[in-house]
Amino acid sequence: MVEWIGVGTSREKDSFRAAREAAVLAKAALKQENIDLAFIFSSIQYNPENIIKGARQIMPAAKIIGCSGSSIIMSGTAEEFGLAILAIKSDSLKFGLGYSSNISEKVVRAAGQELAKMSLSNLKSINRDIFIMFTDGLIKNSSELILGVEDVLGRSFPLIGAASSDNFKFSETYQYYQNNVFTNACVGILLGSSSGFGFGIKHGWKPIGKPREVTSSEANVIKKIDNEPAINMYRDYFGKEAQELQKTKLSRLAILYPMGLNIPGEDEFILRNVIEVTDEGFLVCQGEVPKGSEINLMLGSKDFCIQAARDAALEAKKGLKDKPASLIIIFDSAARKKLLGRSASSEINAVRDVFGRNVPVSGFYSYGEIAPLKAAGHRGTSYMHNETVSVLAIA
Amino acid sequence: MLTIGVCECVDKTMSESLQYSLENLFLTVDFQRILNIVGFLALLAVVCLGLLLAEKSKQINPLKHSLNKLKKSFDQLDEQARLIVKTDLELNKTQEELDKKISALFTLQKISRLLSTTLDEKEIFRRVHQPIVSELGFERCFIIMRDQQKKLSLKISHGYQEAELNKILSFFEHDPFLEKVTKEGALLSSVDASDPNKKRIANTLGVAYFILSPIITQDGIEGALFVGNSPTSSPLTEGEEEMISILATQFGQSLENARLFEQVYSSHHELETKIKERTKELADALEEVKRISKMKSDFVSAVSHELRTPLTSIKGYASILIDEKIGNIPDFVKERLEKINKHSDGLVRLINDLLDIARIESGRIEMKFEAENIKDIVENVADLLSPQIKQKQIELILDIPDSLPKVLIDHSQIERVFINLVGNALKFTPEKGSVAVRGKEANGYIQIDVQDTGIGIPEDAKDKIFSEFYRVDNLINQSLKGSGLGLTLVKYIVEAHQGKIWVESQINKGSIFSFTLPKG
Repeated sequence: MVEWIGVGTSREKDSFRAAREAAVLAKAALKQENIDLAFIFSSIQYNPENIIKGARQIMPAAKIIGCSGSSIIMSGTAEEFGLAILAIKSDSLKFGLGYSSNISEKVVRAAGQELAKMSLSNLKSINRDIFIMFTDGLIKNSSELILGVEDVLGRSFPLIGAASSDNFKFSETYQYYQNNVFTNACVGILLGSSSGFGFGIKHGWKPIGKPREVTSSEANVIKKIDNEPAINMYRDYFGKEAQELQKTKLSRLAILYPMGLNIPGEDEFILRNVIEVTDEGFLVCQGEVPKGSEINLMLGSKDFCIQAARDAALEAKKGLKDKPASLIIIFDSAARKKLLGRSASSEINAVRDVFGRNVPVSGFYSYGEIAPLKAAGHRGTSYMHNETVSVLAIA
Repeated sequence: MLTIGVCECVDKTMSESLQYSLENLFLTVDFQRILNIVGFLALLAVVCLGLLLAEKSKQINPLKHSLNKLKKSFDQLDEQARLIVKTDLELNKTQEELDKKISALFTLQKISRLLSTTLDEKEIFRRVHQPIVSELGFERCFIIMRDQQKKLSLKISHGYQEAELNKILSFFEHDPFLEKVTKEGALLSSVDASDPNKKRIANTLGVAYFILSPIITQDGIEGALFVGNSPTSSPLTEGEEEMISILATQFGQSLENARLFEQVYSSHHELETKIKERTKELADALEEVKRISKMKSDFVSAVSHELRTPLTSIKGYASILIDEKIGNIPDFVKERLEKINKHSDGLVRLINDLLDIARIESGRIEMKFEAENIKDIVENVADLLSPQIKQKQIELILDIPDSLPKVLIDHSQIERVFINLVGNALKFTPEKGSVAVRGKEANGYIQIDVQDTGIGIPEDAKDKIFSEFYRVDNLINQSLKGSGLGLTLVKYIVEAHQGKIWVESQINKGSIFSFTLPKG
């Protein structure tokens, strides 16, 4: 059980004042003078440096980690302009922070290793329970990053996280590590000696139409499907409407009808959003798509979305093994937020209702959610997911 | 083959050759048999295989057929999937459009309420804040307005960086195409994006879709409301165009209301200030009047006292002379001395009245209030004035019911009131006329009316008769001397009893002097 938890939020427009206000509220809710660890999630309009300054004024000694999100989860609502600080103090919980910056100039897998090693050396405990990471959502081959982390911590080590986002601007997302604000980086926290955690990840989309095969791909770019330019799959289903994919980045069509990778043994397909289409008709996705993958067009609905959130929460609750949750962190897809619009809060509340509305909740809307696969064949290997709602419950 | 084996046996030893031949024979026979069996079996196998193949190929055809059917169904299913997906997309679009409209209507209503509940121009702009803009379904928004010097300035902006804002201002000042909005009052939007100029606007203002609506007030086109979205959102529709146009109109009306209110408020404020100033002036003037009045009273009081002493001496000496206490005096001297005496009496009365007025006015007179029967006082006064009544053969009617409640009065002062009022009535009523004194209860007070059938009081004099030294200009007043203080004194006394006095009169018909007194 994490002994003291406090969540503070602010809708204030000034960066420094917003961070200060959220920190004051978090500290007040924590009812403790010293804060050991603080997660900061902020929307993209703020000046990130001033956020750190504002938070530091109230919590000078706390370890800080966090990132920017397209929207921020504040209790029962999703705010496009807001900031949340999750403050933790615990005598039992151990943690180690790490980061790897300038990833595009490094071998991505090595960057992942660097991040994990640093976190590991900073963790002053033999017990390691879970690794939470926030990676820049604009990094293309984030799967390599995950592999790097797994090289150090083990293939089956629980790896949860999300990709920082900038509300569909696709220009710059921020990662917070102590007093540093990074872009093009990955930050993480290794938790040890926790009294338990549970996680669940779901999306609710169903496959439709016949399965196809990725016959050529490179990292997150699907070049050919059934030996034809990948865009033809969308053209086949949508005709002229498929042009929308080419015209706008992460268009509505890509959000409503993502592609699904069939992973044998998994309940659900892994979703992939098409961010853009190249001139050659290649589909650039959020996350890797290996050659030979069996893919389908996916169909979803708002009701499925909300049910998926509930299912993810139930799965996370199951992982706690009857222990009560002290804290819920939700990593929800920015694409889902766009799809759900005004109903976005229904999804958050569906999660809250599973754990009880008094349990503190925080989180943000991301460009990708990192969570392990459950199928036995994958031995708990983590994967980058799209359009999912991922729920992490800590006892 | 058997014969050859036997011949070879002849050339070799019997046993060896026999054994060899036998072995050879057996081997040859065995091999041959095996060969035969294998050949047969192979033949059988080929036949079977052939049969099987024939059988299989018989089966393959329907399988092929089923596979084709399956493939066809699969493709049909995919075709259906296409249909489902397309229908779903349509549904989604409709739903989205509907959601947008409903949510926009809600927000529009919310904004209308927000705008109409303030009459402060700055507050109107402040109320269009970021969450409201997001609720309306837009990422970027600004309002640009012309000031009194016709210079454009940004009133609000959401979703823009500081540097971008300066660019917007200069764009509005220099791009002639935007005059369609700012000068001609047209609405521009990306709904119909055929005009390349619109593309330029969208690019410059950092959006993919936009609506730019003029803000019009009674004074003309005063500015423009801009909303826009990035390429990630869906294109804007005519419904949204209408919504923004309504919002801009509402904006213009609210601004107009605010200005009207401001005008009304400032003129009201001005008026209030003026009233305050005037009230103060009047209050000052009143203070001055009071001060002067007090000075006058003090002066009158002082002078009267100073006059009374020598007057008493004059009257005393005149009396001594008239009474011939210091010797006889001729009649014509006596006659003049009596005139001195008489005028001295008049002067004393005048001075006493003046003194009384001054005293009542300054509150120096002490009233002794007691419950009295009004009828007694009136009868007493009637006795006092009976010589004049008889002399002019006037009918005096006293109508004071016995049941009339007592009044709380200073006896001697109220007696003076009656003497004055009844005295005046007798004075101005011609011979054989009538004078009536009536008493009744009215509005919690006792009201006394003194009515005569005299010459009446002109309309314009009614308000003045209670003023000091005022005398109505008529024949009677010209022949009969008076101080012009009687009614003033009466008014002061009545008011000192918390009562009121007024007069109704008709020329040549008579007057009614009415006054109220508190119940005892």
